[in-house]
This record gives sequence, structure tokens and C-alpha cells, in this order.
Amino acid sequence: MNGKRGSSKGRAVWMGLLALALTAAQARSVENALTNRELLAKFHRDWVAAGRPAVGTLDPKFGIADAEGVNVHSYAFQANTSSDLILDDGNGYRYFGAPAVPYMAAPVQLPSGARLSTLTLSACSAHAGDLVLALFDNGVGGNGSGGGTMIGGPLPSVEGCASSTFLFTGGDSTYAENFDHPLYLVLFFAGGQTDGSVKFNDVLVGFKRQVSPAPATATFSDVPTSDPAFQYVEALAASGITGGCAGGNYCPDNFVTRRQMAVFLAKALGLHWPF
Amino acid sequence: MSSRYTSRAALGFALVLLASAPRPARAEMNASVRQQLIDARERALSERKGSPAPAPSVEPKFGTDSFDTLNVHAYAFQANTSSDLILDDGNGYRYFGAPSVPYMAANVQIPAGALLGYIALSSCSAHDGDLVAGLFDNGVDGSGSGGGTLLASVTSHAGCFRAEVLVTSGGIYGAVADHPLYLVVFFAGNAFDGTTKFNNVDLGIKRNISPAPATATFNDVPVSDPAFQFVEALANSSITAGCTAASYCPDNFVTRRQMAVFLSKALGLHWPF
Repeated sequence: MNGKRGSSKGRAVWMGLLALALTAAQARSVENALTNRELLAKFHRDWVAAGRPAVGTLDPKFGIADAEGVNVHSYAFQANTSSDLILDDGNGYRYFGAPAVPYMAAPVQLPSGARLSTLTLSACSAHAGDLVLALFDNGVGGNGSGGGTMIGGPLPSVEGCASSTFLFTGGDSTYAENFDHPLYLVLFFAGGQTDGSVKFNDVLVGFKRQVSPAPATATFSDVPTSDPAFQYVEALAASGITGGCAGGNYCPDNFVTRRQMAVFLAKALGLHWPF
Repeated sequence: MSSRYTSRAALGFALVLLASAPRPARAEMNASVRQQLIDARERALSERKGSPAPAPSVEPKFGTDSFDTLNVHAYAFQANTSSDLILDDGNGYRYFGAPSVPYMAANVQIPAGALLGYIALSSCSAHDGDLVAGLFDNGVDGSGSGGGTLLASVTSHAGCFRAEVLVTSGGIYGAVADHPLYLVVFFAGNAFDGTTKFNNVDLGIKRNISPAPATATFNDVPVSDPAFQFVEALANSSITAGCTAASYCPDNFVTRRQMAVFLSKALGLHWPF
């Protein structure tokens, strides 16, 4: 993954466009004016009008500050209109053949509370931006209003066969909510090619698991909110991994026996065997 | 948190009764998927009285009594007959265009032994019951007989709602490795103009530790040990091999060295060092 990084000027232009697009996405949630499709189409027009500014790419690093990824292959994508022909290059890349609606979409499932870090599109693209990718959140209950919010992207493809990456920079605002917040990816074939010159292989959604913030009150009298491990003990208690030692206490300074370790781990992992 | 439920319909209360009904006997399992969904819809609609009202529902908490959520988006569904047109409203909701077979299906993967807590359908429905979502278990190895068993179902309410049905019979467990599960969404109302569409089906699941085996692996953790069930689960997962060939040393303290081994094996930690 030795992607070129865009010039700082290019990035500045890009970030400006991104801000516009995200503002548009947020405005939608109020005005409900644009569909997801229209939002991506508008992004593409604006991006082309701005001279297709370069987009930086990311190296997929590892470490406590970095992410694991869920890979959504092109085979997980469906045409928005199922009569639209999707073709395969025989090598795991897919593309449209003259679609009525040039959008494909795929669902994404992330761990509860995960923090999104990257979206990476691996594609072959005749020109930069022939493909535009975005991640949408259909909102609470997915209850019919408008199509949710663009929470990642828009990310244009780069020219040639390469990957391009979108960085989430929104901090706490970019947590994936697992409960009834359906997330899905939409890929817009903006360039209109139907000859296989524009095709994609997969989208990598980078995320990081995250322990819940601590609650306001303590479950155990011997692990008060001031305890350095308060957040973690509460997370275990809320998950049913520990019920404490006795009498409303956790006994945080006791040693763990191997018997207790077995209970902790079996509960934590939900180990289930057909004995 | 509660606002998402206020718009949800009363069907929960009525359908809890339905959901808690006994599962069909083996002899009755050969009804087709289609017939099982039709029957489920009829029962749901006959139980439904009047307009939507607040319903008891599952809050998304964590802990031994609550559930994690598996969200299966409309984009994971395929038409039962692939020539049937599926359309998109441009906002993540999908619907059929005059299908010959008004069913969509999606596969579901849940942890072995998981307990199913609820099934919910987020949709817009022209009338009550225009959509029915059902979770089916194809049985051991998907052995081909009859389409499996309907484990749970939820029926749409008129309007745009997330309808939820609690599964209260605690005996319903999710797939062991060879029980393929799948969801079916039935467009029962024959509304194919986009007025009836769905966004997702979500399933509440809870991981569940195996019941203990009949015999003990370690001679110092007999079947009578309070942690027998848990030690056996670890041993069977190869997270521990004991302290000697035949013993586990349950009363020894865990050193930080042992802690590192337990956790790395338990989580399958893998890094490109």
C-alpha cells in the first residue's frame, strides 16, 4: 500500500469539498432534499468542476491507535435496480453494463461502538473519480425518513488500478452504532463506462473496537468512579462477565485464581461447544 | 433512546404471545417456507387489535439478560427468483417490482449457540401485514427437507416503523455450525409500487456458554466444581491445556505470564510483527 499522497494544496481543496459534501449530508437530515444518489452525483459534479483534486491515501498500519478492517468484496454489492447487468472480469472485479441506475450498494456490519477510521476502495478507473464511494447510516430504526446520513466519504477512485482511502477525522462523531443503525456502502459509477475499463474489487472498512465510556455511578462499592480501572470493571459488569465477589464488591485487589480465570474467559467469549 | 420505540407499534405485545408459542413439532415442519410465512402473517394480523400503541420492547443494553444486534440490511437480500426485479428508493430501502415470486432471502450467521431474543423489521408498509419477515433454520446440514423451521417472524405495520417481536421461549438457539439460518421477507400485500419497502431486519442475539459435558477433563475440576462448565469450555477451546496433563490447578493464582497466554489464545491475537 504505497499510495501517493496528494499535494497539500490538493488536499486543502479536497477537504473543502468534503466539508461541503458533509455539510450537505447534514443539511439533508433536516431538509431531506437530496437522495443518497443525488448527493453522490452532486459531489461528483463539484469534484470534477474543481479539477479533480488529489486525494491522499493511507497505509494500513496496526497498533493500538490503528484499525482492523472488514473487507466488503464486490460480490457483496447489488445493483440498486436488480435488472441492471453486473459483469465480472473473471478476476474478482465487477462493473456495470449500461445500467439504468449506476449505483451498487452493500451492507456493512461493525462491532457495537466501533470507531470508523478508514474507507479504502480498490478499483481500476479510467479517470480519477469514475467511481465514487460513500458510507451511509440509515439512522435510528431505519424508519423510513430520507435515507440517513453520509457518514463516510465521498471517496473518488484514482486513475489506474489502485486504491484510494478516505480518512475519518470526526472523532467521537464517527462511532458505528450497531443497534438498529443499518450501515451500507454505495458505489456510484460516475464515469458512465460500461466496457469494463472501470471496475472495482472491494471496499475495506477500517475500524477500531472501543471500550464504552464509564457510567456515572459505580456498580461495586469497592470500585468507585475514582478507581483507575473503573471504566473497565463497569464494562465487564454490564456485559455479565463478572458479578463481583460478594456483597456488592468486586474485590479488585484479590489475586485471580485459575478457576476464576476460566469463568471470566468463558463468559467473555461466550464459548459454546456441542458437548 | 426511548424515542425510537415510541413510534413502534403495539404489535409487540400481541406478538409476544405468538412468538412464545411452542415451536412446531417435527411432523409439522414440512410446510413450505411460503406457507409458514402466510400462516405467521394470519396469526399476527388476527392478534392485532386497533391502532398502534406503545409496545414492550428490548432496550439495547448489555449484560446477561440482554442482546447484541445483528443487522441484516436490505442489500443483503436476494430475490427468490433472480429474474424478479428488485428496486431501490435511492435511500437504502428496497422493494419488488411485480415479482413472480414475492420473496427475498438473505443468509444469517450468528455465533454458535446464540440465544435469539428478538426479530425486528424496519419498513414502510402500505397496510398492516404487507411485509412479513421470518427467520428459518434449514436444519442439520441444510438437509433439504421442507425449508426448515420458522424460528421467529415479524409482520409490518401500516406506515414507516421498526416493528419488533420478542422471542420469549428461551429454547430457541442460533445456528450451530451445520444449521444454516436465513431470513425471508415476504411481500404479502402485493404492493409493488414502492409504497411497501424495507430497510433492514435486525436480530437480537446473546452469546451463550455451553452446558457442561458429562465427564471431566481435569481430575481437580470434577463435575461438581462450581466452575466446571467454564473450565471445560476453555479446555475444549484449547485456551488452556491445564497445569499438568490431567490437572488444571484451579486454586492457583494466575500470574501475569499466564494471563498473557490466556488472553492471546482466547482472542486469537494475530499481528504482522
